[in-house]
Amino acid sequence: MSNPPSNTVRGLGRWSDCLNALGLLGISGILWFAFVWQIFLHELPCPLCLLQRVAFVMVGLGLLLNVCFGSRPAHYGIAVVSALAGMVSSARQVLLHIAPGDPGYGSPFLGMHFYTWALVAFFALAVYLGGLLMIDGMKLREAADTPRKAGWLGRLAGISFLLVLVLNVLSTLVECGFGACPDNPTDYLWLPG
Amino acid sequence: MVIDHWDFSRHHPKFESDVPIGLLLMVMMLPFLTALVSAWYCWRGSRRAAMGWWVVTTLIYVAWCFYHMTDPLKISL
Repeated sequence: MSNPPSNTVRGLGRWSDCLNALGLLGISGILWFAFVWQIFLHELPCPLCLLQRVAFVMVGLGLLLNVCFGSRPAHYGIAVVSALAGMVSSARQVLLHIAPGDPGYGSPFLGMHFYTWALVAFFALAVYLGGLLMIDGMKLREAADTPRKAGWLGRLAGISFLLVLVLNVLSTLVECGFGACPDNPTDYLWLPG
Repeated sequence: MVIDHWDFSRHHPKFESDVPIGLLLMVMMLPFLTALVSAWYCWRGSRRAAMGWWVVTTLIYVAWCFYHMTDPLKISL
């Protein structure tokens, strides 16, 4: 009976590339959904909502690094720290509206406001990343500084992520201009009333 | 230009004297822009630059957290 080559990743670890790309695709999906909601329901994101979007993007950067360079502890660290940062801003907004009778900010989706969903999503992402760290056979892979060609799922996730990020830059610029956003925005600063 | 959106003293007496770096950080689209730069470097194969721009994004994020999260919560119990 022959032993497998030492550089072969076995078990669940061989799925880690796919799971990283799926995670990035999920984050892109969250950002796309929020952006479509913003455009079609004309509900402008508040500053804390924008901070939560930034945190999702920051988590996505960690996963994009994994997709583009192969998984490494530093990339997972980036994603986990970013998820924790997102939990801070979303929990803060949940606390802002926790008093009885407070209608909350924006329309609810499936019974919860977006900032509550964001808190759930950041927690779920942290758990997901922890699980990925446990199964990932990253020690057996090639050096991280060498870029590699991502698979079709990785390319799809990366392009979707880059595109929604560009749209977020533009929409935030149109909404807030070169300044801070008002606490309760009702109109885009750079669009005629 | 909407000047009152740049007023640091709205919640924070400690920010009464505006400083240029603070003004720069208060541009809401800035963390999106730095994150886009990071993602672009990552996509183009520059790992160190991508991670460096992620750090810049995180620093701006923390500055925004201080700005938006250090006023008293209006919770009536």
